[in-house]
Amino acid sequence: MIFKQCIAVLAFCLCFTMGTIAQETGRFSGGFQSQANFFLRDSLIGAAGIPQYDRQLFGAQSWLDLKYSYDGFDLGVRFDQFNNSNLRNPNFSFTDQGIGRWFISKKIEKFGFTVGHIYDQIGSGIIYRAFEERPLFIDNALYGARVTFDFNDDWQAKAFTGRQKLIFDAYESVIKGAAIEGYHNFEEAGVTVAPGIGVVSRTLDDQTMENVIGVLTGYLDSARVKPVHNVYVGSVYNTLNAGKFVWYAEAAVKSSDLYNDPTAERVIFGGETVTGSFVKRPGSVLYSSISYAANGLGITLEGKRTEAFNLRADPTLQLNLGIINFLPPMNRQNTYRLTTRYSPATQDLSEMAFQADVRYAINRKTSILVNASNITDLDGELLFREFFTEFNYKYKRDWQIKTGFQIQTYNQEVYEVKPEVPLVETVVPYVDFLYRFTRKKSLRTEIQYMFIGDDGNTKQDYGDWLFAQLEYNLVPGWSFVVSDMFNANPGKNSPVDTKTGEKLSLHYPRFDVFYTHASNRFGLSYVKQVEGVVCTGGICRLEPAFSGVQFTISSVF
Amino acid sequence: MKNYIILGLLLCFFSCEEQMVVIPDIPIPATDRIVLVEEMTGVDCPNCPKGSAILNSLIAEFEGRVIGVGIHGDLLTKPISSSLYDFRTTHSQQIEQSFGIFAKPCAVINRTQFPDQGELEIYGEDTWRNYVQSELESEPKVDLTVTASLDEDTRTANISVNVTGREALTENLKISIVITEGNIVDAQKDQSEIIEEYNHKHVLRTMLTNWDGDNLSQGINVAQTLTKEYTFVVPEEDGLWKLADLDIVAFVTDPDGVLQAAEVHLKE
Repeated sequence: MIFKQCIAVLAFCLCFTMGTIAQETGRFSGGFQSQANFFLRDSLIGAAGIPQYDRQLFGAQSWLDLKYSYDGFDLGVRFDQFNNSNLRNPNFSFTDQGIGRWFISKKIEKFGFTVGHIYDQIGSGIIYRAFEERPLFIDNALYGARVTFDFNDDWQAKAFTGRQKLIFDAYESVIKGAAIEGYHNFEEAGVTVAPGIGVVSRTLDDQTMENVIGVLTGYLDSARVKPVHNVYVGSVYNTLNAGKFVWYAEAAVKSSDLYNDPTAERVIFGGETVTGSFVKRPGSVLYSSISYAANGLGITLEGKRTEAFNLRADPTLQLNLGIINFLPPMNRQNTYRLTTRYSPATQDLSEMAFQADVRYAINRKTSILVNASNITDLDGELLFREFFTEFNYKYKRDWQIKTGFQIQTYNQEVYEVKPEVPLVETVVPYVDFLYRFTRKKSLRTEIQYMFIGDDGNTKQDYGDWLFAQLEYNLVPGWSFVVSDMFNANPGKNSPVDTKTGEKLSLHYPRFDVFYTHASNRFGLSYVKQVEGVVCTGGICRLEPAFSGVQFTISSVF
Repeated sequence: MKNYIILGLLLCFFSCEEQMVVIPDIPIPATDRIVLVEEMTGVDCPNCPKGSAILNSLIAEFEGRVIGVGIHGDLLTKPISSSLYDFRTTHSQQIEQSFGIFAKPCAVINRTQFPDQGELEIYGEDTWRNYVQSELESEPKVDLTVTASLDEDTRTANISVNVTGREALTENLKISIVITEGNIVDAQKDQSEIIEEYNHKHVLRTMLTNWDGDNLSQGINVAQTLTKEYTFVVPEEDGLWKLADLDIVAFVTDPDGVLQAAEVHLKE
């Protein structure tokens, strides 16, 4: 089926290409991305016990994107390949290939039509976001159709329907949605607004409903709830721009729907009480951010309240599967190795979060940044707290230094479901120094140290870490990176020497060579990486340790 | 045009109210099928006590029709600080690795890949019941009986299995014999605490066959009976291998899954 679709799309492209020879030319664009992993078993750090380390030794994943535009038509097709890949499931091997995406889009006067796999969102994504996040193996494209209508240059309506993509297939439930978004400039007042309203509905198919009923049939009467086929979510949102201020606000509600609440208790057959049960409740999200920028000062304040806003293609799905919407993260999206070690995943059932970000450029050379965030559940239990500072100084074009510190409190029990662990507390000072020898040669140095709290005699989690990195850049083209993450003061979960019983202070080195030519980038890396949580935009998953050699290609054309 | 579009969008979302779903009381299918549930679990797995509780509730609800085996393979199975025992065995590790699981708890039900599942293993313990119910609805293609006799002095068990064809089958058939043990009191992580005296049930302790079974025959005819005999000397180990808590689980497989399962106590 997919193969036929692919052939049809390619044939369509070909017809257009041939048709353009005598007329105007169309435009092909695309990209290729590939990552090959050579697995080197290291049971000491936990890089063992999966097929790649034990027998397959090699895994890879690749994506080839092709897009073609001509006369208001946009066509695209993407080939996805996974060979013994650990991307879908870090603990196992996944092999498959096929057409990961295709679409055809056409603009006819005020109407726009798109069919195929469609990425889109409404507002900030709280009620609907179809997106791709390759490092987390998320591809939530809508496999269906979308129509847009431009009332004028400023106002547009759109409606869509389809099913959510599931690797090379699609979930059976049907998603439909619509939104009206616009823009208006109150010139006299010097104020612009960009309001919008959106609604989305998910309808369960009969098979999925049968599964849900089957689950609930096993519930005792005291815990049974009545499922519904249709769930509705709606939101209103607006961006107000008034001089130096920008204010975004969004309010979303969700009709009463079935979802799995991991904290709900119920009695099961046999009399035992278990935690985790399907419940049926309505949900809501309130989100707002306000920014001020003038005279080198930038201030952003954000707040979000989330209650029972779990929205999936199938209510029995878990982890990152079948998520229809996207809840914006409310913590700083850090980049340094140790400052990203403990990142909070957005909580969709109970979260109250605030964030403040202040940046000030004292002059052209010097700037400072302070960021603070606080996340609790709706009962006030602390989930995450962060205080982050950055001081940035540039000396001519010769050198630049960034330095600061991060203080974090991280509820590992909630985010990683680890019982009886206290709140992880860390302090991470860091220095990032860039020195330019010439216009073409530069050396960047990063040094970070993580001080972690202790539980009496033992350091929390993996204990203290030291991270150091040297990055030598040779323009154009080459970049050489050497880094080491050293478990300087091992903690409770650090590997143990089986002979002596002592905690081990292990090194996790990494060597990278990158070469960039035009819009092509090649990378060859030797990686030894400790287990950790990998997050992108508030969506996280626990990644096991990795040991091996990686080869990456990224190309845009 | 604008008004029609806005009206059309509104109509899409405010159509008739749906009929309320009724949850029926589904009777237990009156077949001879006995379903094998292999539960992937681990002492270091905080969510696994719920999986075990769900499996226990299925065994209680479908009395005599569901057999549970707790597989402590690789993931989250390393003994925790207060553990007395290590439940990992070569067989359980081989079984778990063959399924390729990435989270726990999960279960493999009759080693069957269901049409709505991408893998053999089923995540979301609340859904296990659906698949058990579904498997119970079909009659087994073979009959399976297992008998055991135990010499308590020598701790020697003689186990006999008989497989009789109900349908003519041509696929390669295999037999698996698992020794499980219940009532093992030891530490287990839970969502918010470590339960020091958790009662571990139906733990896979060893297998008398290969992890994926011993060859039984290439197919079977209707009414044809195949017999296999096994002898097992129960090891002695403080706190483990308690004769009264050992069960023998047997199951016949073809390449598509488990055809029938059976269970007996080692010591009646």
